[in-house]
Amino acid sequence: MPDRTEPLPEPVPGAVKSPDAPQASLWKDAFHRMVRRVDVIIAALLILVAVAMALFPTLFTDADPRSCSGRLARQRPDTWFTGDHPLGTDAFGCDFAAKLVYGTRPTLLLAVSVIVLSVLIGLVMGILSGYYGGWTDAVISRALEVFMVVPFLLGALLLLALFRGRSSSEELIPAVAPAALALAVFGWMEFARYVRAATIETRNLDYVAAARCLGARDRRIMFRHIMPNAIVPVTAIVPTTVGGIIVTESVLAVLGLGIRPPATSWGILLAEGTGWAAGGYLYLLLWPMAFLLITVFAFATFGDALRDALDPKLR
Amino acid sequence: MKRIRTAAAVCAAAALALTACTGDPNDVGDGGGDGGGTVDMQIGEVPTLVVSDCDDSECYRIVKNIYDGLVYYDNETGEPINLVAEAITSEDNQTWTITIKEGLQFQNGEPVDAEAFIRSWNNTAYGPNVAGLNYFFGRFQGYAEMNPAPLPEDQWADPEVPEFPEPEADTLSGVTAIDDLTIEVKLTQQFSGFATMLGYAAFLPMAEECLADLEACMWNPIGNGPFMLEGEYDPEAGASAVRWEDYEGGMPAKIDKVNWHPYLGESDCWNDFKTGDIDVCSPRAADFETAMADPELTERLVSQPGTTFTALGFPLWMEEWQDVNLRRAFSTAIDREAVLTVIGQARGVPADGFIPESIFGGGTGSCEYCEYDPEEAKRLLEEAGGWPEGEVFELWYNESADNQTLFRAVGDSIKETLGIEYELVPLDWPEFLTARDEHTVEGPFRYAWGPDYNLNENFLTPVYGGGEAMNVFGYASPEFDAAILAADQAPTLEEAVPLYAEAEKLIADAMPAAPVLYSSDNVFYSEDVENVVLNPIYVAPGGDCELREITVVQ
Amino acid sequence: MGRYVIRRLLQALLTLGLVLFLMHWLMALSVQVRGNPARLFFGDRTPNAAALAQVEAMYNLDNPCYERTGDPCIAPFIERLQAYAAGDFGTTLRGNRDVGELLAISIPNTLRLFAFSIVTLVVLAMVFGSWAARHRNRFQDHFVRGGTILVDSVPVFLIMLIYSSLIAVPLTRWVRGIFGGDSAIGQLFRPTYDVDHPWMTIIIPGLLLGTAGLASMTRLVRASQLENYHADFVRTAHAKGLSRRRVANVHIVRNSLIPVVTAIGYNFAFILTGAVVTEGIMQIPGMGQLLWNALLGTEVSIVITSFVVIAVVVLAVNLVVDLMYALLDPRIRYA
Repeated sequence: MPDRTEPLPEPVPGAVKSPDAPQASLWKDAFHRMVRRVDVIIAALLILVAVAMALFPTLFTDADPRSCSGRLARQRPDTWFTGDHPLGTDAFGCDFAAKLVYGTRPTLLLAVSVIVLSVLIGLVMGILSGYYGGWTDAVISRALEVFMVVPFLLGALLLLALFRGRSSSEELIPAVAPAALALAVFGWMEFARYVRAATIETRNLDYVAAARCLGARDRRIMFRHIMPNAIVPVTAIVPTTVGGIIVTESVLAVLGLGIRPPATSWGILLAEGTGWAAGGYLYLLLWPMAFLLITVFAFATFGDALRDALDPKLR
Repeated sequence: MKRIRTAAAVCAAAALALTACTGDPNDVGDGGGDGGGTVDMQIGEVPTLVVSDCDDSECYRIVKNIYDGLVYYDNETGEPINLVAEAITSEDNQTWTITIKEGLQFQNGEPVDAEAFIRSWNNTAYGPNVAGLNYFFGRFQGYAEMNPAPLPEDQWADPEVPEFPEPEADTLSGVTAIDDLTIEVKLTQQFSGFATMLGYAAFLPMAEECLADLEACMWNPIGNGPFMLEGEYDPEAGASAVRWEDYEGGMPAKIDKVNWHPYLGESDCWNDFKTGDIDVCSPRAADFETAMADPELTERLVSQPGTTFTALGFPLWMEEWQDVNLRRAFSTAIDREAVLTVIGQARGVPADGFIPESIFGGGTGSCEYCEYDPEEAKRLLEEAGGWPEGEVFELWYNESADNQTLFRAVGDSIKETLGIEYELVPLDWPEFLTARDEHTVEGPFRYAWGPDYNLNENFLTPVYGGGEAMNVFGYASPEFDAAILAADQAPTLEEAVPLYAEAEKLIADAMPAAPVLYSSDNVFYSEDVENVVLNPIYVAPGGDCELREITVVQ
Repeated sequence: MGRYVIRRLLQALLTLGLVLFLMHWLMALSVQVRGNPARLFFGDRTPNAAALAQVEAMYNLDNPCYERTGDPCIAPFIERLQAYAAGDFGTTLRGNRDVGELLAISIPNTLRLFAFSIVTLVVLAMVFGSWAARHRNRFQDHFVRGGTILVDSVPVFLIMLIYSSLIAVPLTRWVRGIFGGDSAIGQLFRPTYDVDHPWMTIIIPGLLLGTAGLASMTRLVRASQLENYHADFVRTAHAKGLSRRRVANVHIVRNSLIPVVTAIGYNFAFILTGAVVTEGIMQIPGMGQLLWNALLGTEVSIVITSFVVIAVVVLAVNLVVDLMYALLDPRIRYA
């Protein structure tokens, strides 16, 4: 998940002439640059397909993933894409294609909620510490350091293992919530850092000083002036991070700590598939792996391109 | 030119150096004459090696080779054979006389005599020692004095922490040494299975040196068996044991050395078995299927029915579960064949009774409701008054990948047949045990039992007996207790066994648990070894065999 | 310079203290919410309450603050700090083993794994990054970019699992068929780590682990090299008549090595995670596996001590990197 090695696109101070028009040109430019690249189009399409699968699973499959008959376990998909079980059945006798499709929702929901939570926390912390400075900054920066010392996955493991709940239901929210919270608690730091840097830069700009002189309240300044600038570096790394979270979810699934059965997720399917792959049921591993790789790859490519598009230095 | 030649020379030297580097500790095919060689075995997490706490299969895997007990269960028939004991006799099945063979010693030179056994038994039976195998001495006279009941609650310093009075005795009054090599044991009641019971770990002897320093003994025990640990056992790195040259007992080892390699967490020995670095391994479901497809590999397979059974226990203290028809409905709704298909066909066989066949007195097929019948299941559910709309049932078990697979399959089966949704509640082992013991489980739960000794009684009294508070189901039945008592008092073992089977029928009728599977023991062995024998009572999971029988191919 | 060093050191110590407190508080919370891990001491058995109380006292888990959810348990925290100062890291609940000893045994294994993986990561990133920079925006560049992203998308555990169950066995058999069953090289591709061949069996896991994080590292190398290509000193070197190859290897590579090394420093925590997963799957008895098992079994002492060790290492590495930066770039010292 973390990618702290590269400098990120800073908001170019000079380009921000007035509070309203500014970012329009930045985003529009970025959009134009990205639309021209074929790999970005493909990546975006793939992401859309994944989201569609998450939102409207019935478009992709008729079967019920929870209707599992043990005697039909591990039937190979000999009749490709036709028949009762287009992709065969999984280790428990459930329709495999249905499992894959319905597993998209928890996986993507987890990734999205972690991102949303982390970005929110990061934004709040970053803006507060960057804007007010002084003690607020000192306290938040210390907190930042403390949390950064704990690696992302290990921290989530710590929380999930220590506070392991009992039952695992098939309901979406209870299945996803614990993992989402645990990951968000250790995932906000990077966003906070970049937001803080952006806030500090923006805070010192002329028009912000002008707004303050005019009597604008802090909150208004933060929302209308600082946040649009701070959002830029954050947006640049969001897609790649989403990919990283999907990968992390699969690690948690292998440990039995993330989303847990009988709910499904790609990580769970992957974990089950690895066990059976060596036994001659390669398809149980290949399909979830393909879904995972393609989606993560799409997000990473998209994120890569987005980062380059938002980088003023490369214009 | 010169540069290329030097490069070539360097490469050649490196290649030579690599191939010259041997040092493989796997001395296969070593040793002359008959016997010798080293065997590599897998092992799981070992909590301790002290005899009084050894109630775990991994601990016992080592202890049974380092110690010799009074009796040993025969590899084929399961009957108890005298090993350290010379004779075990009784006139009335209540007072027993055990004579010990002369001249046997511990690995540190101490004698294996009556004292050796008595000190070990007193140590285990003494309440304050909190020994894991303490309850095995419940039948002995003098046990109650060593294990007092808690004081009345108002006398406790802390209302949460029970306090106990000092035990009246620290030795079993019913056990006396008539002479150096003879022990007399007085039981509180008649029990014809006493001699059979003595084959278990609780009754092993202990050296004085061991008792004096239990902490050291925990990882480096002093035994009297054919193998001797080479240094301390390390739960993460394993250990080796060598053949004890001065062993005089009746079941010597044939190999020189055994190495135990621990596989912790979810990993297993199969990959290392395929490369030849482990000699005996039991693969998991997926690998088993592939292995069975290999004709050469199947020639090195030992497969036999196991002695463990897994069941779905019912929480009888909960009102919902007190209707026997509901329990029967659930049992009939489980498609055991389907469950086996999911976890792997070779793992076991569908259970049709409460005691596996390979146990003495078992295999009676007493369970009427173990046959899958969806119509009957629905009918029974209706008779019980149906299941409240929208409510789920919870399946409680101790966390492990295997258990999760099993219980998902069971849950799916019940759901498909009866249309009731389920939730899985995995807990870690200590939590699960507490919940079961304290009756705080809120739905059907996993119950598995393997034999301590080879008698059907062992699957009845400790499992369903003792009254409501003492067993995990909350099951109490005066008829059952009476039937057990009658069987205990039978004059001979042969007459006792069918009487115990009568008690089993009572259980089958009341259904405090629904048996799901009997285990199967499957083990593949490498080309380097021969004579791989599985003792149905002693075999441990994951890949185990009789180390006293195995030989290395020369 | 001196003041800067002291300031950073103090900051690091403060952070360490806070991390310790955070860990302690989390563990206390966990005990309060989920029940006392002292039960673990008894393994499979149900202890009577007196014995349980005894064990709790032994492990300092008997303080009444553990009954109240939310109580930060200051007294046990102070006790633990004192114990740490005295070098006593506690004992495990299962098997009563000294945590300090366990760490001493397991850390060298992890270090070996690290060494191989970091070397692999740096070498691969340098090679591919340079190649991509040299052929900027052409096919090779895109290939490297796409390829490294693809490799990064595959989770470490999956690589290990696939290697261990599908590739290692046939490979080992093949190698042993050529060189003999007893050869050292026959140990190279084994599916799990073997204590008797600590160096040979750690090479492949280390190499595989080194591919994690390849994408960002490669990109970094590429970016820094591209910067250097247009730098003045390179132009001077070319003007002097040095061959392109010499300029590339001697000047550009060396300069782009610096950001790589600092990147490793900042990404240390991330690499550590990969190591934990690798050790768990390949059965390497290193600190990662110790922590992995301790987390799953709620071994209080091991978890806290391991995280403290991780914190110390990460902070130390960050400190060193920051100091190096300060040494190289005078602007920072006076910030």
